[in-house]
Amino acid sequence: MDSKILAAALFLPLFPLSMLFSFLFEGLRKSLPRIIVLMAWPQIGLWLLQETNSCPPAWVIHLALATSLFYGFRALVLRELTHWVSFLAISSWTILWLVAGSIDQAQTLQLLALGLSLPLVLLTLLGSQLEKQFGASYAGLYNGLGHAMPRFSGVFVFTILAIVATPVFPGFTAMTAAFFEATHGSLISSILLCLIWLTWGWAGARLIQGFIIGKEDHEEIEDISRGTAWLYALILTALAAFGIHTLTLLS
Amino acid sequence: MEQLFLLLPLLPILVALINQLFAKQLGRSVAKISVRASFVSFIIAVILLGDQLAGSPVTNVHLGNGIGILLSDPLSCLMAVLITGISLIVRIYSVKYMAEEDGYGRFFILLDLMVAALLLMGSAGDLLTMVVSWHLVGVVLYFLIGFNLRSALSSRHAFWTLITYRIGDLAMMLAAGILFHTFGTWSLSEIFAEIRSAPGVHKYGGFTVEEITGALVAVAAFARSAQFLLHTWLPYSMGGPTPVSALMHVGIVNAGGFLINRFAPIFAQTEAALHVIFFVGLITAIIGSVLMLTQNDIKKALGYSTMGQMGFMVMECGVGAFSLAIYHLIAHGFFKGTLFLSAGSAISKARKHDGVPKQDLYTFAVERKTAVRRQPWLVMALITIAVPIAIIFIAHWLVAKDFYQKQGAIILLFFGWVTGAQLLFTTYRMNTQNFPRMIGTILVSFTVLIAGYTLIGHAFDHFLYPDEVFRKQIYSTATIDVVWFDLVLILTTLVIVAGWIFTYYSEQNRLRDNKERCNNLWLSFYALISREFYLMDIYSWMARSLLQLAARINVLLRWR
Repeated sequence: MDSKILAAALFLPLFPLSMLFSFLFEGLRKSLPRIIVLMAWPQIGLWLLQETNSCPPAWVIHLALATSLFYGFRALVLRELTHWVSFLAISSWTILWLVAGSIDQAQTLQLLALGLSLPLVLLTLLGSQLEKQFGASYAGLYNGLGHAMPRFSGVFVFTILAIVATPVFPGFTAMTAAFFEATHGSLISSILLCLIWLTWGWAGARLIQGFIIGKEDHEEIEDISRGTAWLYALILTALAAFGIHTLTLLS
Repeated sequence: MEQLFLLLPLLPILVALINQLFAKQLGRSVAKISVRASFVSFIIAVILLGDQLAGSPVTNVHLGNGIGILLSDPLSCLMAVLITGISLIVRIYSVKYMAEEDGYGRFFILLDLMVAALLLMGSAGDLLTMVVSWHLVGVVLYFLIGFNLRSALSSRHAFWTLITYRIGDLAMMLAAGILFHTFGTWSLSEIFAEIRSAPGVHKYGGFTVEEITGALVAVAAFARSAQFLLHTWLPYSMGGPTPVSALMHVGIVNAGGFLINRFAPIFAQTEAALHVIFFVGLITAIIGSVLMLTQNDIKKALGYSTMGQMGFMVMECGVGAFSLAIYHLIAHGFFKGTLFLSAGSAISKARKHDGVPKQDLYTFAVERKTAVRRQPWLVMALITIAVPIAIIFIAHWLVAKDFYQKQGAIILLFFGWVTGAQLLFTTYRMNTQNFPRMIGTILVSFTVLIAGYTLIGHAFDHFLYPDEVFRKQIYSTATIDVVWFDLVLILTTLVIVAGWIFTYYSEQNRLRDNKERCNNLWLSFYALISREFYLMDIYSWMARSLLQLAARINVLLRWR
């Protein structure tokens, strides 16, 4: 196998190399290095992929889809936010192997990868907020944030929606591009994509239930400031606008 | 008119945005703004429908660069009137109903977003807009059903709805992918024109593109319209506020019928898709109605009633009566919406006093006291069989003389006959002072219903599908082999008629020989339906098993 493809398989993580990424990401204790990894990792992978100047073999695409489904499926039972971000990052970045076949322009592809990473960055930041407040960012540990921290919850929900490829966020464009690429190939690829998307939605809904829903069982909790909420909202709006823009590029 | 058409989905989005941005300043005024904007939307929709009725041509309204086409045609305008009309009522109702709830503003924002998504879906003229709006309806509904953030149960039911809808979304996405891959365009008008000019030419995975996309669109419609095996979310989604239940049963669940109509040019070129649709609809109609009868929770009973109605609507599509399905979804929307919105006050009043006059109907239906003296069973059997069929045939003969050449029409007539006859059959045992008056009232009501249904259905057919050749094509696609059709119809008729005659006879002659055996059978059947065929248990077990498997894999791989 081409060494560049092998290297790309580490940065657009294919199983079992994906375990290395997971190990590295979860080993980082601070938010900043995590954010840098989330932003840079898929970009390096795409750069390596483009350097090969050839389409990856079919089995690599199948492995990418299998990896994506494997991590999406495993994310269903994750409660710890860093774990969740790590698994969803692997699951969504591996889709780029397929998307690379349908989008020729390298810049668009890199922007799309950025669009996939940014919501994960936002969730990492939100997780660090929870860690500061409660000592851990763990679903089910403290219920009812919907009422206790309404601003945080609003941003949290929209971030999860962006990660699980809800229209009109960039993840949706990536998934749409992947679907159209998959329909060129086999029906099995399309069905795998369906299952991947299903697991994302399921995992996202479980996370929302674990954090937002329930009776508040804590006394005084400080919500994020209005200014911070606005900043998150602006980033999410920009992401949605970017998603719509990339959707027009598909046509 | 194009600007007005664009304004239709944009207005609720704008209102939601204003209400969110100025939530603190506006306070409870968000509801007023929402209701007023909703009224304006309704007026716009009525103007647009009037324009279509006046004979305006079908137009594509482009939203932006490359993507986003809104299709201004009779179907989209009709749906717009339904959605804006019902949502106006729901919002007016919600102003006071939701007054005590936390998240008053959030509720109206979600309602506005839901209406925007529905309007966008109803008028989508390209695959991307359709897929996006189809997805968004499910997402917004998730938050509306789980509106009460403190209720884990509501959240659980919202989750079931989301997952079921997601199955339909993915089928829709696959269909869109295959259509785009085949025809190289997003525009529905262009795709349909290509299909009309060269049907059955393109293949995908060994099937014609029409067949496979038809099947996928049908799955999307099944998930949205709670068809059997994808229905479990519907009766359990009542945890949301009552206005949400009303909107859901009026405007969201019906979307399956709309979708099949929107993709009618594809279904007209299929071979098996419509037959499958008919079969699924039939099973759903029967199971939904049976389950409805066994519920003691009024909202759950209404949920299963909707399931039965949706089954009938989908079945209508399966026999080629596409426009009749649209009429059905509108009629059902209005009566079910009324029932939901009045369910709360009915329960409240019944707690103080049930208010039901203890007349013949009460003693018969509630206290289950049947008449001691009955009418001659042979006369009643003849009336039961002959009268409804005569009324139905005359009503349809007045509308279109060639109606009986269509198999779809025959099937619908058959169901009309069974329903009417069953009503007469049931009342045969009712204790009444004035029997001829009761029978007369039933027959007049039945005639009015059938005549109204036939005439309006006929008008809808001409409004939604003005091309007669296309109308005939849909009916002919839904047609099966004549010998098989006649055989199945005759056999089913004989079984039903024999059942009625036997029951009349045994009731009359007090046959109680095998009462105990029947009782055991009945109890087993009742146990089965009271557990709703164990479907929820099976699905829950499957979900739990998958979660356990995921957890085991994670432990095995040390969470890497």
